[in-house]
Amino acid sequence: MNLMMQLLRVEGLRFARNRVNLYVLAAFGLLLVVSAVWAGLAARDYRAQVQTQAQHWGQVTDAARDAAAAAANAPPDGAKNALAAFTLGRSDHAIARLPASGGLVLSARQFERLSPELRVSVESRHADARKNDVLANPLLDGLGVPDFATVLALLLPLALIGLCYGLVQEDREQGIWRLVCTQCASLGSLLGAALLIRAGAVVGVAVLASALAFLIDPGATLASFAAWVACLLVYTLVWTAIAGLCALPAWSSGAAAIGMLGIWLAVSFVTPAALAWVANTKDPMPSRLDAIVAMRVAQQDAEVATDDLVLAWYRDHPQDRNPAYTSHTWPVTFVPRFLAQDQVVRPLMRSFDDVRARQLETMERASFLSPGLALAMGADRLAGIDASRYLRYVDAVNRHEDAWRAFLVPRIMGYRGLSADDIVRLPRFDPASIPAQSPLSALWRLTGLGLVLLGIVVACRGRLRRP
Amino acid sequence: MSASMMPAQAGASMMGVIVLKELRAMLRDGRLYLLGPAVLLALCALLLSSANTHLRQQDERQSVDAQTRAQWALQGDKNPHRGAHFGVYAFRPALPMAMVDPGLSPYTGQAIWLEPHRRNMSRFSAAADATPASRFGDMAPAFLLYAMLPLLIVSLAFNAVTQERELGTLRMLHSVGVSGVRLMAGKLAALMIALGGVLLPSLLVGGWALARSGQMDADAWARAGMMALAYALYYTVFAAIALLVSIRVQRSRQALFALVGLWVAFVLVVPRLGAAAADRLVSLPTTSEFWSEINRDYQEGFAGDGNLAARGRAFDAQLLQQYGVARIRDLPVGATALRRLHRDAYADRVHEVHFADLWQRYDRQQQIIAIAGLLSPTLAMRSLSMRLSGTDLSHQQDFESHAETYRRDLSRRIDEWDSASTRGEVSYDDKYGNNALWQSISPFAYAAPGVGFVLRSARLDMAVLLLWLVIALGLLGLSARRLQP
Repeated sequence: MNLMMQLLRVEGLRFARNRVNLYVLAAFGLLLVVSAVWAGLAARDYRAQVQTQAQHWGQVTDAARDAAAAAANAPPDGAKNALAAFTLGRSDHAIARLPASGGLVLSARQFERLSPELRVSVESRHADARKNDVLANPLLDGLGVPDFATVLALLLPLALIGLCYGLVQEDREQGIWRLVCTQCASLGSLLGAALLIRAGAVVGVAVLASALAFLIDPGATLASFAAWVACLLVYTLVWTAIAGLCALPAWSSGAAAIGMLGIWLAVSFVTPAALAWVANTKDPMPSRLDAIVAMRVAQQDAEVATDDLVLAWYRDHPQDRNPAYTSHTWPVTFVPRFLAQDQVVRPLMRSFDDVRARQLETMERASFLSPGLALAMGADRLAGIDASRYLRYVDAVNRHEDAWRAFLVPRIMGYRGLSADDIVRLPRFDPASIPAQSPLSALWRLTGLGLVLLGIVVACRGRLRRP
Repeated sequence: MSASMMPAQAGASMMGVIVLKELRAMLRDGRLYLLGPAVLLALCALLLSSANTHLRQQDERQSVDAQTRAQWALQGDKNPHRGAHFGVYAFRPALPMAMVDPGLSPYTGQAIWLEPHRRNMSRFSAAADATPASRFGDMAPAFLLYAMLPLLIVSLAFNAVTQERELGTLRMLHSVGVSGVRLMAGKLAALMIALGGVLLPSLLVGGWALARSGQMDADAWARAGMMALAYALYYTVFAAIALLVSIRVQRSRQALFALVGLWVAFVLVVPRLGAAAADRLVSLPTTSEFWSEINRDYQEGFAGDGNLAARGRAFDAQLLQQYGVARIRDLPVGATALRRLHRDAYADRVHEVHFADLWQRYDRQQQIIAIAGLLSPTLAMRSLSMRLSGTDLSHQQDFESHAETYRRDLSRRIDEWDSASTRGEVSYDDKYGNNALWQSISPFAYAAPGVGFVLRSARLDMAVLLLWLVIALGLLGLSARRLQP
């Protein structure tokens, strides 16, 4: 123990006196701080936007309540009442939002890109791009906006490579290692101390930058931060073990650097792409273009059957038939049509989210092969945007939309419209059924990999004896 | 004459010797044997895979286009306006070069729904279904070309001078009178020849894949040629930078360190920081803000135009006066369709203002990123590559504006037919449109703009890339002149 402390002190001094190490740490820290500030601000903007939209919806319902109260005192006008209910029922402000979790700052832009706000409607929300799609510049999406978790997943290994490469090989090239071998009884401990100092420095900078990001986001939680720090520790463990492995062979320092870079390229770029390919082969994503054809078939069928659908609706809901109206026109004639159309389109659209969730499940199981991917997926869970939660969100929105329609459609079809009391009792989206999942359960494989790699380093420490 | 030729001939001969020596050294070193075939294999695999995907998507697009057209043309008896609302889809054809660089295609959406009253966004982007793997880079041939190939250059060239210095051979070369400029020119030439050797087979594979698409015309070959030239310039920039760093630092370790740092900055950091800066400096409206503002301006009208109801009353009055009748129902033409034409003309104006503003914002964001290209040749090359592949924002804008022109024309022609076929006010439930009407509308046809369009829109990117080339070669030349053992 005493020896280890001495080694740590000596390695610490050696580390701090090498200016290149400090430059690497400074560059790493600077980039992380920039990304943290950007991510924190993006998360803060998003949460503010949620507040504004909630206020808009409040204004819309207030106005509708006032109009309903005024209509109650005016002569009854069923068509007008039905239209008012229909207008509210398809309002752009009727948003069912996926609540962001405490770790939103880790994948803030990714969260926004994945349509976290779906508009429920008495019309079909799937046919209208304005209901679900996100407005974004494709150029920025293509370049990859610097979500904090992604930036960290890419840069942390590079910082470690920068600090660790040539750790033993360079000493060998300079003839120092021969001296070290003769003077140090435990070369493994020496390498361990050097790696520990470097891993500590890198993870320290990463934790501080993360703390900054979490502090800027007013919705961040301590539990998310603690889980994220755990993810960072595991991630650093894996990369430290890889750096330790690359220090063992008797390569040149240049070859060691190229080897480490090669590993980084392979696990950061090639492995995720390969895993995505495997996942897509196992669960092929249906074609969005084919979905257009299927959607139009449903639209056309419903359009052709409009009159029959209206008759069928009244036949099934005799209590909601208003005897004052024997012939019907828009919007009443359209509502059963939208309902029929959605019975086909909704499962079709859900199948994309379903396949995506299954693909990500496959990838998550093998994500330990790409530590960066595992970290990004863990961050998605902490942000609340992982695919399985998104699928549960889509299901919750569909249930909410059913309740929304069950409440509004009879009032439209029966020409009753909405009373002021009805507007107060409008169904509300309850996001409680879609809790965020902890990323830690998915990280155990990565932890296992890190420990195995570390075990190999320990087992092969005898190779350090080569002068 | 012969005397004056001698130094030049000697110089050329010396250059040849240096190039040969460098090539031999590279071949003896394991790096080229290890990394070259790996890069070549990866590039060929990506090219073939991308070509297959491109052909499959092309077939699928054509098939779906034909199906949606048939759905439009055979929708049967309907109210013309309801038929128009069924709408058509515009699918953007991909240029053959898109198989090399899909660029923004995964993010721009695959189709636009064209319907009356409103201009829709392009929808169904592949990125919506992408896995988190895409966050680390889209595995396309272009990604390998602009992001990974520079690493091959770095790994081949980082110790080009430092090793000579460490082994003492630089001093020997200096003592026999080899000038630094010739030495560097030889090393640069050898590096580019080695790179050419690695890339040439993939160029043949790429050419074969392009030719197999059946879409290659003179314009497409011109684009391909320009892309090859642009990449050659880009790699020259990286090779010059690698040699420059190798001259400026004392040891190979430092050179590798600095070059990997530069690669990280050029490929990973600057593009993301550029995107972040553009995102923060030029904000975009949210989806609901964008559509709400369009709706507000349509309902309330621009300053001085009056609201929707007032505009409608004024139009009705004009109609009554024009046809000399007292009631709308007495009009000899279809008033419902004429009213719609009038309303839609205003809606088109409103959409145009808001979409122009949106595209201006995109454009300003793009300019910020182009400025960031001054800090990274990769950014300029990437942008140029997307433009030449027809997968950039300007090609998307061109497609969307053509689709919008078609949408307005389709809507107007249906309404004009409607107003000519009816009288006064008509119920929305009357079905007097039929297949003959739908089939009278010609299908949407779009041809991407030619290479001249690319040259105009890519001026800034080309200028930035050339600037990088001039600066990199200039600094390399200056440093080579002062090269000391």
